Amino acid sequence: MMLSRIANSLFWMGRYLERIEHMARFSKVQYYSSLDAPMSLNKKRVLESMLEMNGLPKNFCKHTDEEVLFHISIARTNSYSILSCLNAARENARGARDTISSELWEAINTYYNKLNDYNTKPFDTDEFIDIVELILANSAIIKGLIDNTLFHREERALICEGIHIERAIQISRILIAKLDDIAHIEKSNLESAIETFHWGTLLKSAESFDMCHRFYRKVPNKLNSLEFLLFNFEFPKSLAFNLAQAERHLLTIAKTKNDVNSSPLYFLGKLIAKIRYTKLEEVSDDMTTFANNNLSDIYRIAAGLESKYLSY
Amino acid sequence: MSTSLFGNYEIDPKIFDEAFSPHKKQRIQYEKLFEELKNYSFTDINDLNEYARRSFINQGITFNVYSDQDTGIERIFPFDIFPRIIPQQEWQQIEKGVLQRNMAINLFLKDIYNEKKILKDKVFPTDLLFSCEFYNKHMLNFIPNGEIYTHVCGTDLIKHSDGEYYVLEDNARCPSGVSYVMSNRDTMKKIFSHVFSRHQVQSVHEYPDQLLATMQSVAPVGVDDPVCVLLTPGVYNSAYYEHAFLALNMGIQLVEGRDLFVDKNFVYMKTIYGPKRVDVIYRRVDDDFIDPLVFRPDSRLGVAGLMSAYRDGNVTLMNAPGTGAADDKAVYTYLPDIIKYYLGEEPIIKNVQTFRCEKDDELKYVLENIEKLVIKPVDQSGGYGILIGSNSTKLERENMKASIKNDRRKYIAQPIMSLSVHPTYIDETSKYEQRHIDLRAFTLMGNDRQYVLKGGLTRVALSRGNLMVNSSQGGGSKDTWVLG
Amino acid sequence: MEYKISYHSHNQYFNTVKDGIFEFLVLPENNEDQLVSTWKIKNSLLEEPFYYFNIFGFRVCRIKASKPFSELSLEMKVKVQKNTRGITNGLLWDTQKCHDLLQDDIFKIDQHLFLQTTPFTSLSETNHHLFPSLQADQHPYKYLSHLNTTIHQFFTYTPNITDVHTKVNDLIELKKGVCQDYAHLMIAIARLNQIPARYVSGFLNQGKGYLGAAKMHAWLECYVPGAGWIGFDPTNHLKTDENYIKVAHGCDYKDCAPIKGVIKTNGKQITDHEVVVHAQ
Repeated sequence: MMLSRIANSLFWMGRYLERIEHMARFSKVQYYSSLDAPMSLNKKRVLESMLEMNGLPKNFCKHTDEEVLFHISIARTNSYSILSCLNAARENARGARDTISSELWEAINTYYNKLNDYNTKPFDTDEFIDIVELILANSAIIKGLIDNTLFHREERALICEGIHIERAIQISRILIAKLDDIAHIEKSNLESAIETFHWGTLLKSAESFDMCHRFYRKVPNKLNSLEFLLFNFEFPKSLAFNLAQAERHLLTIAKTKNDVNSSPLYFLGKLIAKIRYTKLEEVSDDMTTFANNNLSDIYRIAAGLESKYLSY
Repeated sequence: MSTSLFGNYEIDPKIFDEAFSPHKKQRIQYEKLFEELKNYSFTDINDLNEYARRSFINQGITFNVYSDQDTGIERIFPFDIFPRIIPQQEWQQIEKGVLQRNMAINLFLKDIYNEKKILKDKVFPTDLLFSCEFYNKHMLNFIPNGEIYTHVCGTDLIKHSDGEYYVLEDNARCPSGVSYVMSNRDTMKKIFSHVFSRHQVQSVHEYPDQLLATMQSVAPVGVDDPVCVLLTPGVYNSAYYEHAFLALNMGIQLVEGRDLFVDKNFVYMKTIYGPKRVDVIYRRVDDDFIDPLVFRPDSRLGVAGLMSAYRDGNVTLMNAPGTGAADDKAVYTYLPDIIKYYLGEEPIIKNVQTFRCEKDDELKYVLENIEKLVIKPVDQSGGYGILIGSNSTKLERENMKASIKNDRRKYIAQPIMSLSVHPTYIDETSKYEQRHIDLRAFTLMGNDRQYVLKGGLTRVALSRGNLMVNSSQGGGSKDTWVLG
Repeated sequence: MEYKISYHSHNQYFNTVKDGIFEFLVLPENNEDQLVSTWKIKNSLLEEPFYYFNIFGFRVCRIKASKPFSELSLEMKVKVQKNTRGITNGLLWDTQKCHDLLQDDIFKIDQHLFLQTTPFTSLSETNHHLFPSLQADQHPYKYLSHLNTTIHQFFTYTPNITDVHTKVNDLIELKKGVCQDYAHLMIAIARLNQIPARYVSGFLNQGKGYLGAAKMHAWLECYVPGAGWIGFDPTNHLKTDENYIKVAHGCDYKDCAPIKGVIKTNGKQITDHEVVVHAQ
């Protein structure tokens, strides 16, 4: 038994929790990498790309680093800030309070209270690194509780569906943002050092640097970074992996494999097949279009899923 | 050292202190606890209080205070770790007394909505009943499944300076607070686990099971395995924590009005696999909001068509609509007569003497003695609209007199009862002081089953001399130990 | 005599309605003076209607929309046989016997719903003197006939001045209104005088030139000891007879509203009703 409204709350709780993690990690990696980046790297460009990832207008980067970081992380007035997203996750959890475990609820609630406490002290870039650490640690705790304190039935499947759909979206967006960064590198500066730097931050933003390095046994370059993040079905941060997980959880939710042709399960299967049978060479010339197409497919699947299972 | 904790505890001999005699002798039921507390310093107490506070915030045990904003402000209900202890014999009287009242209240409700014998026998005044705001014509000529109206009732009791319990109010609509009883106990067990092992404290944790059994007992006829749900107004309601807590602990679905719909006089909830029939609804939404087709048409909290499904017997609502007619404060004055009429018994727990401003001679007394009385509107709860004569300004008293004369049916007056006091740790002075307390006892009535929660909620007024213990008036709470 | 009645209600919404539930209280009742021989109700949403009896025993037609819509119309066609025994004789019991019953406590308890004021029918004390009260030596039927005249003369029939929320105290200043206002005011005064009174909705024979015949009409019934419930129509200054086809009664308009709906939408809506009553 699962109310459609509760299902909606669980799905969005998963999405917000995952989104927060990506926002935090991306901002941290971008900002701190820029501090010791090759000198020609434009700092303004780094702030811009952070703002863009967090859904904010680019002109905000006229402000100081502190102001930008504050605005992205804990500003109550910014409805896209990490704190606001966490509040949305918490409100969704509160709405589903009787479906999730007390442990999970308390962890989310404590997480929110801790993050909100940063609003009571002075803010500087050191606070920001603390905040990111807090977020990454708490995300890990919460994901552990999702796996270990909930029934592995619809309730967990819905949260995980939200997590994997969101991660597929965030990975795609980070990829698109990085492709844009690289496209902005001035021709004369298009040297391997800067490009290597960008592929490195892309992988770090997706917590994939070490494994990519280990998998290919060489320094990340364009081809292996893209292949790893898009097509590797065994690595949890890749698009392929997350789509496959989303399909698995959607099966638990839908309870049937023989779903009609227009269902979200059908479109998801179709997208996975496309990812599975696409070769990097076929798309590497216009990577941005490929990534954008995938992203709009995922958005369409998420919308279909919402209207089929989560509307009330 | 006990002297450090209670050495400077001041006793007002005019008031009943639950823990100490007027000569500052420890009452027998508290002796073991005082013995234990000898090992504690004020710093320890401070730390434990802080621990308790943190634990409530992390569990999200908060309530919302209504304000102009949509969302309200989240607060915790202050908690004092020094428990109130009730000896077994004293509790047995309370239990018998509240059961007696509830049986009488249910017979009264069934009667006034059907045969109306108590009116025809002139035991209860006709006009008083029909002028009750909560008398609900949509309950007429209908008997709910199991013949029960007040499945959940919260009886507010106080102990006067004569050492006797009195009933202050019968909360027969949607009484709240029971989740605090259980959360308080959990917190106490964490803090004082070794103290529990030395006392035989009655458990409070079977309440959710009892509540579920009560729900199942009043299921529609022919439904063997009823689907029970708890209907909440939503996350912004001041008691949302409690709604979620009870649903989780009963293992039933917590629903909002928008999750339910009525089709052909059956109630369904919207699930990801389609509609699922609902048989029993523990609703924490007020009468006026439960069905926009019958009551307030602007209500977004209810379910259109619910009342006709209910009257058809296809779903059970608890509590029944219209139970407010029994906790109208003017009806309260007749409770002793109601008990005698239906049960042929004398009331076990006394009523507080009450003056009804509707009666000419009583009005005269009230107007002349207003500074010695508490004036209450008959139709409100939560301590709203109350005037305490001795704590009011002349202007407030004059305004109240004018309001009374303007709508006499709306007000009752009672002598200012001296609520008993209990040692309570006060942050500002960092010591134990006397604070007024009351007790809300929770009773469940089902089809051929009754249950009184052995414990109840002890509410404490946190500012000195204050008689208002309601959470909305800044009150706190204590764990209540009924000894076995 | 036989009536063919058709009732048509049309509701148009500027924005799509996501969720809607409607209740219609328009079907004539069966009583000793009238019998519904055939009836049919159709709705434009093609939903299967659900019927139930409200707390006063009248049949309500409920329609629940299963998909979004922006238009709802409902059509009822009904044939009613009406007997022609004329106006009820209200003077069966003598004055004293009538007063004794009206003062009887048990009687008052049994009739309490129609003796209590409601938000629609609560007249403030300062306005009581504007209307005659029942005298100790006066027969209640004669009093009510007189009151029917008083109320009729008090108002100037004027549509679109009042609405379905107008309360009796507002009418005192206005002195204008429609059938519903006439009925509420007379109910208020009858109840003040301890005579049970109830609000009635129904249809009027359209061949007589009566006020209010084009739409659903409202009148009232008062309990006259010995004779039972007798219908008064202060709008037309009449007592009810075979020209009145009753649908439902209740404490006031709220119990008899022909259409009620709970919908999820925003934006404007237009509601229109059409009534055709054909006497044969």
